[in-house]
Amino acid sequence: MAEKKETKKPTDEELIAQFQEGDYYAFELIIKRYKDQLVNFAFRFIGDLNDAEDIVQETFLRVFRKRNAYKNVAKFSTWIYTITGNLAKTELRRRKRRKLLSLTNLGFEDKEFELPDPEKGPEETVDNIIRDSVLQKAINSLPEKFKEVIIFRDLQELSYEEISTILKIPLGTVKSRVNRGRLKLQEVLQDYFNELRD
Amino acid sequence: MGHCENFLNDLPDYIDGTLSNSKMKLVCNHLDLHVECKHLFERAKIVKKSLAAMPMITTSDEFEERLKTKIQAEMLNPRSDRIIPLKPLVASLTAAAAIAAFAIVINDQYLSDKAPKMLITPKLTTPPMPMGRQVSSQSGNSLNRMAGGPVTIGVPLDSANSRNEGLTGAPGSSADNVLRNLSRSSQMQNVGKEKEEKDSTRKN
Repeated sequence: MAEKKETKKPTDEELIAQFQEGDYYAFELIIKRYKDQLVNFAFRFIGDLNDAEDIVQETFLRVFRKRNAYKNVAKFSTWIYTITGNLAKTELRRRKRRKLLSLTNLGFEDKEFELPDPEKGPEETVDNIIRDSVLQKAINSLPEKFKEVIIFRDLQELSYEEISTILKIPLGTVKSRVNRGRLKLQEVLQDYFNELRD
Repeated sequence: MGHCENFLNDLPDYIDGTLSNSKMKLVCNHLDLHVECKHLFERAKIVKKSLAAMPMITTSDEFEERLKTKIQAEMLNPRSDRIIPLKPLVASLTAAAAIAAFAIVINDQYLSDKAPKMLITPKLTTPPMPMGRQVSSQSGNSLNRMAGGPVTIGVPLDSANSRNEGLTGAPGSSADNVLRNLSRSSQMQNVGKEKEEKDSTRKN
């Protein structure tokens, strides 16, 4: 009888340890494991897919360069999300500065965050694509501190403890921000929900 | 009011289903009593569900290829991320080089203006001959001794400059030429003196 060999999936921490010892294949596995979730996070945070991919590429390059800076005291996911989060925040601030410098662009970008007309027909509002775009715009309109916790918690499904470590804020603050972020989203999406309820 | 605040604090955990049983009962009781809080809870639940239902964004097909190219470049040039701090250094070096080049050009112009005057001695023991200049170099004293006095070279300054014939320290002339010509003229003078001495001894 052929024995079934159990192939245990290596943890992130094991992979980064192998990579620190010079195993580049381990790094490839890390890329495969994290690329989509990081791009999803970055896209939800900044609202542009090209920029999101650039941010994630830079994240992996930094992991490559600074691989020895990672110590096995925190989870690897926390470390890599911190890098992506910081890069995404920097990108948002850069955009804000650009927006301030270019007054002509202001009108266009503001329009992008406008919610759809609540008088639109029910067929349109039910449509998934529109719903997603409405949600994305609602997320974009949130203040940064609420946006990041909402994305981490409700989209990336990280634990409150992990979010607390990544953002370096107390657990209670994470919870209250998640709460307030959700309530703010409700306010923004109120018309949308009213239509859904009808 | 106080109950509503407590409810709001517990709402995230209630929605996530991570509240303890005792707290869960309190929240349920509160929701039965406060319609506004119940609406709030329902909306928050919809928001959470809607967010969770959002499609997962994935990377493009060429994402990994692009990343591999960047990593290969990084491996070939591991210090490429330190180029930025070198920028000020490069700029200051360029500025220093420009200043040095400027100084060299100015110095050359100054030397070309001054060099003939420096090579031509100001020490005149005899009045200078017309259309000629008395020449002396840094070793002017020894030359004077060799030649038995200051040497006058009958080449006009301007013509010597234009022909580049040395002796006047014009650009292109060398100190060796000056010395050679000077020693030749002093030898001629010595030969003349010797002849005069021989003639006088013969007469005697």
